Formats: sequence, C-alpha cells, structure tokens
Amino acid sequence: MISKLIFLVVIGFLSTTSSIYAHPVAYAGSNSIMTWNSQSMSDWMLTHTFESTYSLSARYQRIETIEGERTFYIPHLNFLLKRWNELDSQANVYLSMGHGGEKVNHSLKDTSFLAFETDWESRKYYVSFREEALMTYKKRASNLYMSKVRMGFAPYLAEFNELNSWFILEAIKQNKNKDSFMLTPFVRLFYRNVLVELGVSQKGESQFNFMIHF
Amino acid sequence: MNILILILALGSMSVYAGEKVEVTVKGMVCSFCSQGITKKFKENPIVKSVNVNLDMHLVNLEFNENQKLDDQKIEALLKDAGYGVEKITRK
Repeated sequence: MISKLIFLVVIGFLSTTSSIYAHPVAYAGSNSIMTWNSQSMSDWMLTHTFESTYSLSARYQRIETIEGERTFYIPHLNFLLKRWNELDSQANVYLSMGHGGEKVNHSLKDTSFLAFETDWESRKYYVSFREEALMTYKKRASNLYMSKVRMGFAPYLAEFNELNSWFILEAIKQNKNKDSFMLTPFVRLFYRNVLVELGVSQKGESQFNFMIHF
Repeated sequence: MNILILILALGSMSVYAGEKVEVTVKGMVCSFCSQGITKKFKENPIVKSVNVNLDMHLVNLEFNENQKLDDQKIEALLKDAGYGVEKITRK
C-alpha cells in the first residue's frame, strides 16, 4: 500500500502537465483523475471539463455498507452554478447529476446520482459542504445519503511553484455506513497539478486521496 | 562609431521587444489556479512568457515581437480558466 502510494505521488510529481484547483469543474479543455480510498470505500472519478461551467465525469464507487459491499458505476454531469471571484478569495456552487448502475449479480441495476457542493477558499482558509445521494433500483430505504463538511487552513502562504500544505478537518455523515459519523483530520499537500491528502479518522481508519489535473 | 551602432542596436531592441502586460486577477487563490491560468495563456502562440505572483494577485504576460492580445481577449482567456479581471496595465 505504501509503495503504491509513493509510486502514485512520484508519477504525479514527475508529470509535466498543468492544472487548476481540484474542483468538479475546472478550466475548459482540462481533464482530471480524482480518487478517495479507505478501508470502507474506494472512489475513482475521471472528469473532462468542456467549458468553465460544466464537465462530464465517469465514476466508480465501492462502498462497505451495513448491508454489505455495494459497487456503483455512474457517469454524471457537473455544473458550476455560480462562482464569486474576489481579489483574495473564491466561492463556488456546484450541482452534479447522473444515471448509471449498481452492480448486482453480474448485471447493472438502475441508479441515479445527485450531489450539491459549495465552497469558499482564500489562500489561508478553506471551507466546503457537500450533500450526495445515490438513489438505487431497490426500495427507497436502500438509498445512500452522505453529508460532508470540510474546513482547513494553510500554515504558510506558498507562492506559485512552491509546495502547498494544508490541515483539513472533515466530518462525514452517512446513512448506510457502519460508522454513520466520521471525523477525519487530513494533511493536504499539493504541488503544480498534483494533490495528495492523507488522513486517519477518529475510529483509526486511514484514508488516502489523490487528484491530478492535466 | 561603435557607440552609434550600440545606440541603434539598443533602440531597435526596444522597438521590437514584445509588449508586457500586468493583469490583476480575481479568484486566483492558490498555485493550482496559477497553473491553469499559465497553461491557458501558453496555449496562445502570441504569448512569450507568463509569470504569476500570488501575493500581488498578478499575472505578468510578455508577448512575442510586434504581437499583443487586446484586453477583451485577455479577459476571455481568464474567463475560460474560470477567473475574473480586476485591472489590466500595459507597460
């Protein structure tokens, strides 16, 4: 696991491509790969941004729930509904929606996806809120809902082409996880087009997030 | 004579040197943002160099000889990258 992590970080740092911040919608013509991984889930998302206001993602999610392991394949559209650009800060509102499938006995069953996200960030502080729903072919009680709040600060102001470091606290509430509430502090490092986050929850579950834009 | 040649050479350099523009950008809050903006401008063959100063919210552009981007084009490129323009200063 550690060697795989180091490999991914090295590959990312050696990449010569450019990027912007790890939002679901980036600049026109850009691509991104984002992944979030822990013992209880694995989430991979490949995104292409067509315009600065919308992008298309292909997503794979494996989630350990109280009903067992569930796997989803969801293509979805992401829209930047509103952005506020100020001299010292930026705020955004995003909406994502899609329709795909949940893998059940070698076939895919209809699943819809909806997410709302808003954030505000300056060079020193960062806060975001995300609400996400996976509505499955099963009865409504099987739907997965997640609320996520993140807050962070940068211990120093990094210039362009310097290593950026952040401390982030993440709170997640999920209706189908064994741990319905998870509090995870993260260390976030990013340089050029690569972002890495490492965290350990209050329950001792480690998490590794990785994002690259090109 | 040598001085005259030197003066003429320096004079011609200033005539043909690319124009420099200083753009104050809104929403540029991290080096990731700077990377996207840099890439967007470097895609344009007119642009010779792009330098970012996050502290001052500045993007400094230098164009190739006898070429330049007008303010509307600079604003459009920054909008494509997802950012706003506070001020454009030509040097």
